[in-house]
Amino acid sequence: MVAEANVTSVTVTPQRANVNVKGASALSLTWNVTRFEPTAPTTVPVSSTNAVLQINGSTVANLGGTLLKQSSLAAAQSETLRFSEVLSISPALARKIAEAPTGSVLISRTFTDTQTTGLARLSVFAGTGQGGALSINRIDLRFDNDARTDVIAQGDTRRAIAEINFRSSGLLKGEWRIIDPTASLGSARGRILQVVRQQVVSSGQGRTRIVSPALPTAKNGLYLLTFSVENADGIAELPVLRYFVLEGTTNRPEDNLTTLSPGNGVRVSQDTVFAWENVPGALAYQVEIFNPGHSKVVSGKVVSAKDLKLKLSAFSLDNLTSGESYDWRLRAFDKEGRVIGSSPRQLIFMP
Amino acid sequence: MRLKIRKKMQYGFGPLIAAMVLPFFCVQPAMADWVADFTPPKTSDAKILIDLPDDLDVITLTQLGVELDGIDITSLLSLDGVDFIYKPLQALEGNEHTLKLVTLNPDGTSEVRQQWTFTIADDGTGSAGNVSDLNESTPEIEMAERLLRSAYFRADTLTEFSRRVVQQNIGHATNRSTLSGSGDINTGFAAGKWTVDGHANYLVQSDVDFAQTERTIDLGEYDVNADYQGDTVVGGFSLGHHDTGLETLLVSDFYRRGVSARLGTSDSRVEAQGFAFGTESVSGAADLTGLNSTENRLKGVSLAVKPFSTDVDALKLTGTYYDGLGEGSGIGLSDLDSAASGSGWGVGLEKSFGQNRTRLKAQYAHALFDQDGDNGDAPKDSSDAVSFLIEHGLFEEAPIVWDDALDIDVGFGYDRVDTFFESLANPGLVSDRDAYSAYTNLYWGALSANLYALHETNNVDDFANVPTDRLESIDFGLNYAFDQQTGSTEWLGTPYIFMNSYLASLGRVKTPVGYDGGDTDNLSSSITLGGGANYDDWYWSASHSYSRFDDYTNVSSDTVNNLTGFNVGWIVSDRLDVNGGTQFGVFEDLDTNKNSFSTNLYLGATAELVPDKVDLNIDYNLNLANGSGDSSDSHIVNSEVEWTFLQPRTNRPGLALALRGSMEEFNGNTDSAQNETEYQAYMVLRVKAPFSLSY
Repeated sequence: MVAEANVTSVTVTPQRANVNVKGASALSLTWNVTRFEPTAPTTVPVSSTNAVLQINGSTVANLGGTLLKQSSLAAAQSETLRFSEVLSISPALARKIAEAPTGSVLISRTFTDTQTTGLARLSVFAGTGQGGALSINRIDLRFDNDARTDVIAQGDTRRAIAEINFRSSGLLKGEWRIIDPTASLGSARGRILQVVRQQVVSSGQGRTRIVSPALPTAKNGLYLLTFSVENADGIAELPVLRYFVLEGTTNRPEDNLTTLSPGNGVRVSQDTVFAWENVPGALAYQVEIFNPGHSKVVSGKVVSAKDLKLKLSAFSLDNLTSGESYDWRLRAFDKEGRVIGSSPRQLIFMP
Repeated sequence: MRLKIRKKMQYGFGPLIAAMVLPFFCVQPAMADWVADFTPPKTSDAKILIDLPDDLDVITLTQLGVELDGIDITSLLSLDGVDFIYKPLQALEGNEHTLKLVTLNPDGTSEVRQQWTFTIADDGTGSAGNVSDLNESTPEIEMAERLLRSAYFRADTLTEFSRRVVQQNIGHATNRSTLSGSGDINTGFAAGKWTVDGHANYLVQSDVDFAQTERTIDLGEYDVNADYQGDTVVGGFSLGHHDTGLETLLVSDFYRRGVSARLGTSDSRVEAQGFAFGTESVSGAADLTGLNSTENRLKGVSLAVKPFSTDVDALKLTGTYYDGLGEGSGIGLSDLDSAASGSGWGVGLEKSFGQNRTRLKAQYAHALFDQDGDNGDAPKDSSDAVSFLIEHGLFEEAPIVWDDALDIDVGFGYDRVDTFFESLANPGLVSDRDAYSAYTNLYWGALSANLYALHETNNVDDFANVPTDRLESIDFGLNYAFDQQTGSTEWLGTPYIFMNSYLASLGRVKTPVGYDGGDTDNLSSSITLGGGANYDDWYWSASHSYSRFDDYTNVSSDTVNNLTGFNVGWIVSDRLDVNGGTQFGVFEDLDTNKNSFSTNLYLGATAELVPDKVDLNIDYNLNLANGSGDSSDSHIVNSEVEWTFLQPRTNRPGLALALRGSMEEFNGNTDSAQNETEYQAYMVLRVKAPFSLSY
């Protein structure tokens, strides 16, 4: 009589899963295969060639690859083998799942130890992101001047922006990580520049913008910057920005200064307050007013960095024509005369 | 008694001093007839001095303002006796400048008392010969003509040769000796009615494993912009990295390498634009236009017309069309759903009323999009998107409340974006949403506050087998910047505070029969409180965030997160800056009762050890993660000492020698296998070469 081990059970976690109606999805699955050896000690391979996606009992696609582990058991011994995998659901499959009758979609795997087999399956449902944990499906990393490769003058203020598209809701756990010039020729880890914990919500698909702290620009050389984030299973590789710091005067920061008031399109008067957030290292702040789309300053005012707000003087308003709209921006200067901050242009109206 | 201020005593100038000084003197009315003298600065960075009559009384002084090239510089004036002195923040550019001395009248009006022009030559010297009192008939056209015939070239470059002198356990087998560097180049010229500007940067890295494009020397990003400003027609073209400036449902925030051309009327009545961009984010010179690959390219046109008038309230109609295919990935971009083909057209309408008091914006777009490309199995989807926004300023004339204008805007929006609506030129657009939103913004002095409410549902395409969820959220934010504190609260410096908060509820509207994919019912809340203060030579800021997530379906864990941050910076002297910051976070999984803690500390210093010769940079970083999320603690020290033995000047390279390195120590705590110390140090020879040419 041939000794025969048994695959006594196969289970899968989770037992139901959601895929997104649109786009590709990644399903993280764990298959648990329990074997029992009733007689003699044996070592056998336990494997499964692929997972099967079925709709209404018909096989639609084979997913994943071969899962294989060796199982060695003594007599009367049992063990549970754990197989983890991430299955990719293509956009085309996701569409088929979305259009299939509710409850008719299954993913299954059959495991064999060469002598017996066992099967487990999970139900798959289509949704638009809900019902599952937060997942990141797009990271767009850039500097605040839109560039993705940049050369920055030493001491300038520059930030990075991460535009993140996500599905479902939850706590976004991320870190701005940087590799300094002192280490970039040999270190892959870098240091944490800032920890980000941001609760994000969406009815299915959502988008959020995360702004980095001011990037280090004190040392000459190449810096590598990334935003590492959890729940980004679908992202094959985290994007990396690189910037080189050198002593210079020609580069200017753009759109890295946050203004608080006035609102866009406001009617400006002597009582209108221009207010902004502090820029460390600033010596003075300057409000500049332009004809829309032009670069020549037509009016404005400069104040020392002790002030985080100002009102325009009467003679500054005299430079503006009643009934016309203007662009305005704020710039911050350091003690060397360098522009270390600049806000995006906004609209004001001269009544 | 007439107040006479002794010459050579330097004062900061402003209403504060006047208010302090005035009560102690009996002041006579201002002199009506007097003339100030102005001597132009001898160099572009020299102080500007307006010589006022010695016997000018203080009331007149406090009623004067000064404007340089349109900028009110009164707040930064200092007094040398009764002479105004202004130190330009930046060296003045090499062209003509206008200085105005203005009298501020008690009724709030002002009048220009005297006005001068002076010229800074391209070599940075001032010219006394061009000083003149301007009057209404001054032929400024001459000045414009001079400006139009100019050209410039500026480049900042740094090249460094580094050799590793010591190392232990560094993770990468890098070349021991490397050449690296970069440069940033700006150039341009103006001729006739054309202005052309160009910008480019490049990177050097001899160890190609660390090079961005696997080339030792390669272009980073560049852009060339040419603009024509005619009397009736304007136009131009751009090449390289740029954005079309369009903000529509189909094209938005699309900064890529490509080409675009624009043509319109000088009164902005007609504006047309054509563009072609690569869809991938690239650098390097291999694909100079960004358009080499037909598999990653889109092209489009837009036309904006103001059919009836060009005034501030004019109706503006915009049409957009694009088509293309490609991947939305590349440098800085990772996208799970990136290979696609698409096209689309859209129309937009903008109109305001009451001199911009009420603003209306509506858009419609239709898109054809195949999310896995033409060769994929997924179908090409035809979908629509609609966006509507109306904003209104509550006050025609902002009321003055406690000396500050009060402005309140309200707005209402509606957005409906089909489930499969996508655009290659607006890759971050959130689709599958049917949303109503309302908001209000309040601006009162240095106080700004905003409130935003949203009601949104998904499953816009109404799939019968897909549930429909509903998101309701409300956001509230507030900022306030205080005046600089004086007297007993002077120790507070110039403080500011801010707060951001939101509450969001996500629930199920419709569940298909037989659906067992889980319910949706959760509540998210978050609040961040923060503030800080600025002083003459230091600053601090602090914030605390509390976030909570409650999942009433128990699909996910309920969680609470607290994150506290503190930053401080101190300019100890002209030669020493120090700064530091810390973050402490606690993440609690309320279902499993597992907590994780993270602590980060940063301390840094920048010192000029020997003026213009030896500089030191050093920083220390501590990262601790423990609790259930336990991982290695790390201590990282980065440092560089640079000895500049030949200072760089424009068009004359400088040389410096540096010793730089880092040490990283990892402590695995319970897992000693994680314990490791890495360090590396390099000797660096650095060539800094700034170039500048102009005429």
